[in-house]
Amino acid sequence: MVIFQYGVATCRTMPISGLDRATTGESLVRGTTVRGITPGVGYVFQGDAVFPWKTVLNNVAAGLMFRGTRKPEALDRAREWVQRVGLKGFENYYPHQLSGGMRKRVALAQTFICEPDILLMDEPFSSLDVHTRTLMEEELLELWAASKASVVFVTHDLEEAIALADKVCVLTAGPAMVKGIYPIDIPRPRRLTEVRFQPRFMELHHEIWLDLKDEVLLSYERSKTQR
Amino acid sequence: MNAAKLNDKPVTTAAQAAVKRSRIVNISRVAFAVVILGGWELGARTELIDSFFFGLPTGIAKQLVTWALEGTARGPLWRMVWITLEETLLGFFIGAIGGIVLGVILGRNKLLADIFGPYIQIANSIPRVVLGSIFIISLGLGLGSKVALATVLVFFSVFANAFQGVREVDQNLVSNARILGATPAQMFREVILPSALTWIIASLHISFGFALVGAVVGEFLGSLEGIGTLIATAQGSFNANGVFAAMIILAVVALIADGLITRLEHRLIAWRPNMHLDQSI
Repeated sequence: MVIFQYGVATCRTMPISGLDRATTGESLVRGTTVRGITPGVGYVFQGDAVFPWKTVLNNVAAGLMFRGTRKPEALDRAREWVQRVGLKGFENYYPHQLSGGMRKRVALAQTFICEPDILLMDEPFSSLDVHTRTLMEEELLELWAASKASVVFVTHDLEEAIALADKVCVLTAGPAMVKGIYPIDIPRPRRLTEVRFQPRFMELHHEIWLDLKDEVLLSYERSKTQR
Repeated sequence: MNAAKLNDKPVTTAAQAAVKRSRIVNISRVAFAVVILGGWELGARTELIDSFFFGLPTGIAKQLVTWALEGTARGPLWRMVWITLEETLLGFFIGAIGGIVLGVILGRNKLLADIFGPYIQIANSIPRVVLGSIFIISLGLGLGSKVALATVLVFFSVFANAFQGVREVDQNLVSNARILGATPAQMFREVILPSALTWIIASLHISFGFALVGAVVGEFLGSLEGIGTLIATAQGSFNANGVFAAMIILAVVALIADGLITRLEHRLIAWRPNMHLDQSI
């Protein structure tokens, strides 16, 4: 499942992960209140969050090693994942030697290797250029198809939301409330490079946009008065 | 074959340009030194510059040779260098280790940082070199007072950087490590310490200079041996060449130490981008 949201992004996903408390109310994961880091949660951050002092291989293995897997085994599995995200040959590179898209691949491998059953993604691809972004989205769909984790994906990009999601959830422009939930009935597997031209995609886009437009305008007005 | 040739061409010209450029740089460097030293020597010889007050390059060289061959008024030169180096190194290591440990502890502990914050700021704003006099009074003319002064100078510089370094850790990385399941101990070892290391190593570069200043000023204030003593003695007998000669010895020591710290830096933070560029500027 993928959620689309307009407005303040991180305050929605942080409480689920346990990184932060909910401002009001409580967040429930699988029926229990979140206290501390939620087990089985993976989180792909908006900015660069791979460790700059670790090589690609050690970055990918980090999660396993934190959780007590022995080093040789962790590195073996990390090698596999490095290959799966298409970074074979870059195992011993440091993050600063990679492009933004490659660093995101490291982040994906780092998250997926821990086999999360809930995956939170907070505008993970917003810092990438359009083409890299499409490639990464496609990559994500493949990885996700193999893992079947529930994904909560926050984005400001409606096209990205429709292309990736089973369900799109529009939130109001602060305080963020659920404004509408739209099931996306475009069949899978989807080819991201083509899905945008399907008539059903355009219909959905139009329908959700009508709902979203007011929120966009509202938050735009607010940003003007704030200045 | 042809394609290879075509491809080779711009590479060789770029390499040639680099060689040419480094040649120009080296020649200009030597020329600069020759002009400055030659001008100084010439000025002194033609009495434009008073060599009694400002010395002259050949005089400085002679002084160095005399010290090296016949020893100084206070004993053999190598012994003077060794004494100062010993004080500097002891002060450097004690101050650096103390600064790192306390900086990391206070950086990690908000309560302790709040309690001691103002005092550290006060201590930081005092001209600490003055403490040298206190150390001479309390610890005497020997090694201890110089080591103490060097330690104090090094400590504050390293402390401030370790403290800041621990606090400046990228919160994204901390969040990521938490999500990935890092325990507090792992967080410290794998995230906070490597991140702070950049700051700490940067401060070590400057601190070695401080340690040297501490040792020399300490000797200056009162001692029987060391480079600082040589400077004080030379000053007392209006020997400008002696002061400059001692300065050159100190500069050589500082440069060698800086080279060693740079090598340590390369080893410890190899992951940092553009290390070499940073060094050449």
